[in-house]
Amino acid sequence: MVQNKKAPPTSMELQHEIEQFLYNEAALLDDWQLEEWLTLFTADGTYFVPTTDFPEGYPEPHLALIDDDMTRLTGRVKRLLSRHAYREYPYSRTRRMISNIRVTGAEGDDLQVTASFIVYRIRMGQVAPYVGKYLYTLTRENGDLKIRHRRAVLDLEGLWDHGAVSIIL
Amino acid sequence: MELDQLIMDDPEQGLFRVHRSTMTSEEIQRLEQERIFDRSWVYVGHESELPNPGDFIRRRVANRPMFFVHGKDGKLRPFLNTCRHRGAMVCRQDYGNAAAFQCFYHGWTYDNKGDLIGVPDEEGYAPAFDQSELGLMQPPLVEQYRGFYFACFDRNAQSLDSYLGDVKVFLDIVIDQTEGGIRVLPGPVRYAIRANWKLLVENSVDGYHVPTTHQSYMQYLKDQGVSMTEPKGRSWGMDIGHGHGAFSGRERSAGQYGGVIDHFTDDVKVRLDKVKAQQVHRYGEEREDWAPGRVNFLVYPNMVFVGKTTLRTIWPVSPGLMEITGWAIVPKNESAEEQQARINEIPLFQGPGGFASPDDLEALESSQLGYAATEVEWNDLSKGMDRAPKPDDELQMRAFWRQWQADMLGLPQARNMHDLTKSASS
Repeated sequence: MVQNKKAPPTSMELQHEIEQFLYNEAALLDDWQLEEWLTLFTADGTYFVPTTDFPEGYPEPHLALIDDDMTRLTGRVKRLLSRHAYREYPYSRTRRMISNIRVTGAEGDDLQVTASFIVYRIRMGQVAPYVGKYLYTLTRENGDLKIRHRRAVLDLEGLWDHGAVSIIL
Repeated sequence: MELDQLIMDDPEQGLFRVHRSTMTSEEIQRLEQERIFDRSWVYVGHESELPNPGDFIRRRVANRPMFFVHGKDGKLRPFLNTCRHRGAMVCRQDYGNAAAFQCFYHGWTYDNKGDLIGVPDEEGYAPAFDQSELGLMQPPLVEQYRGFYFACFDRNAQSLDSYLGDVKVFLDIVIDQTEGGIRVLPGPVRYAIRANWKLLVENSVDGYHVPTTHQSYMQYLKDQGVSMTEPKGRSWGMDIGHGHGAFSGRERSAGQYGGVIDHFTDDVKVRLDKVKAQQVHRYGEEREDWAPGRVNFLVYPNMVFVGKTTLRTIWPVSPGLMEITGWAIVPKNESAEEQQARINEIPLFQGPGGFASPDDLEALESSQLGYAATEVEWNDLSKGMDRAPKPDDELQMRAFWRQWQADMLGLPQARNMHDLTKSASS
């Protein structure tokens, strides 16, 4: 889980393609284009947010904040768009800052990518930043990049300012 | 508003109202600390969190910094996390294992039994300075019930056993869900809600809000083909005594074991059904619906079990802010794979990233904001006051408030022990 090792050489083209992919993804999320966002995943895609005590993972079975396969993630998006996800309806405003994008590994078509994020959530007079890092496994389908695993690891010690992870991080 | 006027409890008329200043007043918050949290038995931790000598966890209990340690003598002790010298916290990590705890300020050192074993430049102290009296302090009373450790800051309080009373049966049902007992897992969810702590207490045993607040979660279950048919078993709300309360949701396939049970392997389902049968046998015909149903219950004042899968504590920070910690509970004798299958179900419904809890947060914060309209003075909790209690009635909340009132007024017991008697026979 610790990905501080020196990244393998990455071509400028690949770096550029990955950056554009992540920026586009962030724009979809900030614009609440969640159904379109879902199409970025492979059929076996996952989205995971660990709890805040063990950001680097924990060897034994443990609770997660979010542990979605595509069935659950599709349900999450449907719920968020249903107008009955009251924490997010009316929708919050979000703004994502994504940086420090690095390719940290490659095997076959799979690329390991990390990035830092700050996701601001603004609603009901509160501005709360989620701070953390993404760990992606990206892959290729018909030449396009797709998300196989997407892990949003919070640096927060608890959701003291946020209460919930009611948006997609 | 006088303290004894804050609750309007009229069983004859079937009306129960709570004044909204209970949710907003700094003075009431101060009195709650003094009369409820400093006098009740409050949850500290579970023995399974400290399997080995030297293991420790740090947490806040009743607004005090504490840490809970497995001593080298095998005893588990909650300590007040403050150096006897000048006050700095001697335990500065949330988890770990240590033979000794050294205060970094001046270097006083305590072993994991709490004894003061090292004082730099000891020669500087007069003979009257007695190191043996300066070990880490514990709460005045510490007791456990089958691995659940509680503390009480009132040394004259009744025993834990008598305080828990009938809620022990519900704890047994959680503990005995398989033959091997349970573990409370490390790595809980931690979050805050901008609302009064009592709103989450109410919400945790509230069946009434489920169809509306959680309709999008219900829709998800329907989309997954989960049967949402009406119950075959009974469902109810319950005043367990001493402020403890429970409700049993309708027996749906979802929730029976904490989630969508289709995800469990047949092998696990067979085993769980066997345990269910054992529990029905153990707890008898009358209570058979306690075991298999989805039961949420409150251990007064602020410990909540949601189903048999999670445990949370709710601590006030200020009248409009609370902090919550929620732990997963798993049976010890299941494989890591089976445990993970259970745990994977928890964040679907519950917790800050779930399909339901965020909407509870929104409801509670929305209520708290509503209380700024002080012309509207009363909350209503009358539902079901003159009938046999159903899970979506509010008896279990009235039970909490009646004990709350008794504690705040210093009464030996609640003024009204029950709703109107005519419901008792129905």
